[in-house]
Amino acid sequence: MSKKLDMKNKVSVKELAINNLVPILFICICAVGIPLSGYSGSYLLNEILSRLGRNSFLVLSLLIPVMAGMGLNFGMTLGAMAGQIGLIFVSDWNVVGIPAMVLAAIISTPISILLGWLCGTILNNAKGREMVTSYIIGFFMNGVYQLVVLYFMGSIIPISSSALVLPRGYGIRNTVNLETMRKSLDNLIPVNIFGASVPVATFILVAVFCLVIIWFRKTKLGQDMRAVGQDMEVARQAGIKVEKTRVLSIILSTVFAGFGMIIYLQNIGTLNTYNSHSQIGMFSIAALLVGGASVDKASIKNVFIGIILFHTMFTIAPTVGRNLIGEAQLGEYFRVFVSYGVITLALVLYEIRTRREARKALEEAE
Amino acid sequence: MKLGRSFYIRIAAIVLVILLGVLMFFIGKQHTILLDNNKYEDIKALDEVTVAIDGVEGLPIYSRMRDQAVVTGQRHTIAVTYVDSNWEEHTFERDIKIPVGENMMILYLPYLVANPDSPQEEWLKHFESQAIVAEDASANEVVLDDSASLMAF
Repeated sequence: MSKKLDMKNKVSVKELAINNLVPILFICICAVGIPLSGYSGSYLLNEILSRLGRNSFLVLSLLIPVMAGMGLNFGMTLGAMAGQIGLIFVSDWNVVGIPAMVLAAIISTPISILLGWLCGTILNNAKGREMVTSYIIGFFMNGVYQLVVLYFMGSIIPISSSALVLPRGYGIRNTVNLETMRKSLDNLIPVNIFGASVPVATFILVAVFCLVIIWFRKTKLGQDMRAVGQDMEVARQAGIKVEKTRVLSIILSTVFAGFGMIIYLQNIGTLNTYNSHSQIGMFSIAALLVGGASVDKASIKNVFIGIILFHTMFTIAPTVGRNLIGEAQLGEYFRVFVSYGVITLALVLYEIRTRREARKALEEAE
Repeated sequence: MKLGRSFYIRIAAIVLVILLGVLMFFIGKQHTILLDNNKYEDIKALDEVTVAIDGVEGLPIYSRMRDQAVVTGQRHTIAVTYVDSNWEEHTFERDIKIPVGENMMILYLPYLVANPDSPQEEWLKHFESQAIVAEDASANEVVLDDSASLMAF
């Protein structure tokens, strides 16, 4: 009897390790990397708190589509683009500080809703291949974004600021200076702990968003999304409008991603007009997966664990690369390579687990 | 077709959000005020003048000098402290309202001191910057490379 229990325990530990392979791997990378980087505790704390504040909203925006069974929403870049368009407008109008952030969020919302609806409608026609489809939609919409920002702004869409428009008279410059709103949210409630500045106001906003997500899960729409995520056919037979629910989940994710991008860029203080949004989806998804989430299951806990581990690696990687090989660029490549690697590993593990569960269910049925 | 209660709630919510946006625009709009102490029309420049905007005092502006102040929002109080020909110090306050469409305005201090009760339009006027900024040609090249933002992340 006790032997049987031991076996069971051994299996569960093994399963636990397999299920949490990605976070364990990252804990090991960080444990080895932190001493090699030579960074002080207060510097690392400062960096992690800053990155936790600026990335949390973006990563949290990924939870709703996972709940609705749409997988990891690579289409969140659409929301990021909408947020950036809002920021370009407020910069042109010379609006600064928190009002600028709120106004940018208001401008981005209808754009995000439109893009989210478009993305959700396309994804409904690509059921089972949502992630790769949303990834490609991101690339496609990037082209449309570039067309609007590079050719329409300043010509069709009025942009008057010479600091924004290219000297030829139309198109937005490579970088938009957001110095007038830099850290306006982060420094709204200034608090220092062990020499590290804590973005309290940003954390409060993130906490409110977490509460909204918890509340949303309990609402009728939230329950519908969970039902759709578990089994679309059963949900349809229960009278849930599956397609509409799926589109709504993508719209919500896109709108929140737009807000997240505004929070992210207010921390950075500079908008790279043509690049800032492009990698945001991949890094946010990688952070969520590092936190132990999978394609069909993600929680608030995964978001915070993921950001802490992923961004610790992000912070230390270039210095570790320089200290070990004398090349900071190697650490740079390493962190990009790890980001792609994490997504691949998580997808492979998800596939293995799905197959194993299907086999187990088949064996039990027999 | 009968419109339901939820329809009106949605319309009201949209209107509220738009109004919030308009409010944010008004309270967050930044303006630059140039504080000019040069001869204006026939009025001589002041020997020394200090301008405090919303209680924030600036540096003294001597004759034929110009300073600038950056303000957010439309309504402000300016306190002008100047020294007259007998080296006596005087201070007076005026409320100003900057038109929302203006990015840069110029405040003619000698005129304001000579006519403190005159309407705002006479001493606070629109200003178009004529400054030519030498630009680095590389800053005008558009970079569409995705990896360009990696370092910033």
